[in-house]
Amino acid sequence: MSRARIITLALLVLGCLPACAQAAQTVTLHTSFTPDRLGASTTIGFGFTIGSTTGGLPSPLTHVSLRMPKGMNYVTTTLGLAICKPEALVAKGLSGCSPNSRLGYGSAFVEVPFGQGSGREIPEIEALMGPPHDGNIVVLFYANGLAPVYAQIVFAGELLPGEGAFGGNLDTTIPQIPSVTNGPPVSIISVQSTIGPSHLTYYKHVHGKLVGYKPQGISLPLKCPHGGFPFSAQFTFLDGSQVIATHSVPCPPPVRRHK
Amino acid sequence: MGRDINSHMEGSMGNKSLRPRTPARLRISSAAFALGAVATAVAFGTGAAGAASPHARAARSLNLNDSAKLHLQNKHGLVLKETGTAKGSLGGPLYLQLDVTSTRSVTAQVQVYPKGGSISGSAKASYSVAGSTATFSGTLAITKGGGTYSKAKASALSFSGTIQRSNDAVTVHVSGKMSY
Repeated sequence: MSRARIITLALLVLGCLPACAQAAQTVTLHTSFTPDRLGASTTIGFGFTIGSTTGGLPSPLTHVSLRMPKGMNYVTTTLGLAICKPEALVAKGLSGCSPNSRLGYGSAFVEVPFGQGSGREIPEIEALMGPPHDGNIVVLFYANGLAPVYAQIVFAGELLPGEGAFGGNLDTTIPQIPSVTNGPPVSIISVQSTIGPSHLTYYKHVHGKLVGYKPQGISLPLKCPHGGFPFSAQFTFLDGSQVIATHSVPCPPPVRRHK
Repeated sequence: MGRDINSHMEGSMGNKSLRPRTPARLRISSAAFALGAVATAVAFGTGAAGAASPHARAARSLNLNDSAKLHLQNKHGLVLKETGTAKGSLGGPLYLQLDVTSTRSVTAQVQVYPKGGSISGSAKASYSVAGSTATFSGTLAITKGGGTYSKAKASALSFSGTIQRSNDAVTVHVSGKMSY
């Protein structure tokens, strides 16, 4: 082999190293219904944990498409009776929006690229009803970041009609969260969130008084499909890779009727 | 619109322009039928007038423009059953069953009971939520009629409405031309 060829090969190998050694992302999805009872108003819980095949920091998440089971009743829910405008949320935080626009809440762990690997919590993520887009329900997510990421971030998910075994698809583009000014974006390690009435209080006027009440959540179908209620999520990362993760909520045990 | 739907709608359906509309083909076929009836009556020795009477009426048209405010009678799964009174050209008790088929679409069964008859229809509509109100908009086809409206026909009536999400109260509006 000529010296030129050896040098070329070496350059190619060296040039490949950063890309070839790039970690692939792994994702585990977890979903739940509380309560898990057929036909009942429920709170949908969903969460995911992102890892890396090399143990390093996963690529920042850019997009999540969460497909939810068919037959969920989005119509009779009284969640999101008010609309929260994104600009009000950015300007004033949660106080800029009616409590009747809240849909759920959650938290997240992120890791900055120069972090110690322990993850930093974004303790407050709120889901709110946003202005509809093309007739579709829009869920606004408000993340209130504390140290080391001081940022209030608003991003939106659109509930698209589902296909096949799925009745709805919450399609969410995740903005890049800068670690420091002009610095690389943080990596999301895990997210936990809910959509449902659990821990939510809405208000209405009754005889001139403001009265708190619990909104009606999305209702479960009256029948459970074989194998449970399927969820599937497609995750897209900044490096262009995509990962699909699935999880099913088991069918609830049959209700015993007392004679 | 069968009585099995447990709701009724307030409103009326359309302006009754009782202007007889007699298409040429129908006139010809009516004449042919009358001639046939006369011939049959002569052949069998019965009165021709009695044989021709029930089906000789020409089709009438009606410009529907009806609306109704409905309240929830019950809901089960993805189905809302609403009841009220229609106001407009038909008027009478109205029953609406809304069936949510996806996050963006509904189907509906409508029954209205104007004086002297009944009309049933089925509708398909798109559906969207905007805060406290959901809206639907689509088309309605008449599937069945009874009494005065036993020959009711229409295939693409405008069908729209709103749902107050806090209490499932519905407003519905139907417009377009029907014949009967």
